[in-house]
Amino acid sequence: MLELRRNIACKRSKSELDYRSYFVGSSLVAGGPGATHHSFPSYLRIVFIFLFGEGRVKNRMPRFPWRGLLLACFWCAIFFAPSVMAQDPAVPPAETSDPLVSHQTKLEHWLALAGLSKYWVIEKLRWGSNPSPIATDNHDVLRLELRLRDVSGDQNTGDQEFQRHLDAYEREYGESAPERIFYRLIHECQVGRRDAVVTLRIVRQDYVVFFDPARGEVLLQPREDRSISREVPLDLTSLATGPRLQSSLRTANLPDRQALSESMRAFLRDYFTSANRRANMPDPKFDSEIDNRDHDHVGFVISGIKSQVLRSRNYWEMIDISLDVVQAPSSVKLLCHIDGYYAGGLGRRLPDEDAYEDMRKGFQDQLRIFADGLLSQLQKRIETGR
Amino acid sequence: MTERKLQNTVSLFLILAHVLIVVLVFAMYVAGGLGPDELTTSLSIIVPMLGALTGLAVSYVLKVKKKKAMSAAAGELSGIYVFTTLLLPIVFVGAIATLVVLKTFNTGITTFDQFKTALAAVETAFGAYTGKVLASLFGKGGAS
Repeated sequence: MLELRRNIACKRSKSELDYRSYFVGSSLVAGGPGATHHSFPSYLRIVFIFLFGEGRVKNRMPRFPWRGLLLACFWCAIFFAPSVMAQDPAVPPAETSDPLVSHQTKLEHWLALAGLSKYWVIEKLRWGSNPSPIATDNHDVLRLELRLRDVSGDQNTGDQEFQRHLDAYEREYGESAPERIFYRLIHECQVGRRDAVVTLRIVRQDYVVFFDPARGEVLLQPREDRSISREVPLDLTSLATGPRLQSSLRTANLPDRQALSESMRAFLRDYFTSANRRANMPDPKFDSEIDNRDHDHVGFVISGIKSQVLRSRNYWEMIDISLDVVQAPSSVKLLCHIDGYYAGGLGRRLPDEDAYEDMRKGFQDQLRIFADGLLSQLQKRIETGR
Repeated sequence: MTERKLQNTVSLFLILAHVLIVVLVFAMYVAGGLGPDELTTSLSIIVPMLGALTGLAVSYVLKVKKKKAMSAAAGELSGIYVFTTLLLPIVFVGAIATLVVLKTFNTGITTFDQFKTALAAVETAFGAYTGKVLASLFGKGGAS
């Protein structure tokens, strides 16, 4: 082998032959005759010949190492090109093959962001029979099954712990934790309010969070097939402040329900699109659950917007908004439920969904002001039709 | 290149780079490229990475307080030593600045976790070697 290489090397120039045969000899014949003469500079010289070319090394005239630069560019392209190309804003992030697994992962991430993961752990997300007490047909609903963490002892202790958690969350965030989880579920999985149910397991008792179309409210009730029977209705009218706001609508000019929901959708699209166009930005992205039967509810997750909530900051924002029309016997109410998220970023590329932070951590007031403004404009649009 | 000249060049570069990287991170935060949490975490990762190297440079600068000491005669260095001593700090600082800009523009790095991982990779790939080279340059006896 050594002889063969030497023969091949003979075809090269004399000085090159010196270095290359020397290198071959030293690498192949370990401890051979020339092994003791291999000084460190000789190896360096071989590297320099590779980088700069033999003539330059010989004449001690280094030139720019184009070959090295090309090699570096090649490796950079190998390492970075796939990740850069994957960031095309038009291409959605990779999903797992099972959408439910992907949704569950995102919901777990959201629970952590919303400060709920210290209380709740997701046991399962699946399609199944409707456990709500008002279920009349046999159609499957999307069930998010949660269990209250760190509850030991009997059912009464668990219920008390549950009640303490509900009260504490409402004091801190100004809204009901089960309702917030419910709305996050329908936004994340893009289903209608009638097709989603959250079950909360406290020790051995399951509570069901579901939408009651007759009352136009999200309710929390214990499952009927369990031993304890206790009803805890979520009073949507008790909270006048916070990201969930309400306002009464004058009924005289109200269109029919379908036209009303269309009007609300159009309003939201106009509101955010025109704001982006004023700022010379591309149109925002609207993700909406589709449920043609539910005309009293409009829900969007709006991304690709900036400075709508945090006006003094140039952050990317993502608004998760639910608008519900609640038709009581004597009046019609509009409920607005808003979650806001932000992420840093310049340029036009949107951040990954995992990069967003909850606005409740530090920007709660701005979110409230934004919700106030949005709701008053929407109210005006619905009532006047302009 | 003489040893003294190389020491002066590298120390100046490291001190300036340290300041400029911190300014860059703050500028990106003010421009909206980084969130409040991201700003503090970025600084708490990047400043110690650079601080160890800048510390060597500052120690050297303190030693050559007098102009005479700074321009004292020193031996000629080998080309490969000069090349390596200049290349590693430049690549190290350049890589950190590039990562900050990539994160800010959500290009290639779209989450803060990816950013932290990339910084750790840069530290692993270049930090140790850069520290070794600079310790040789600024340490006892210098590069001779």
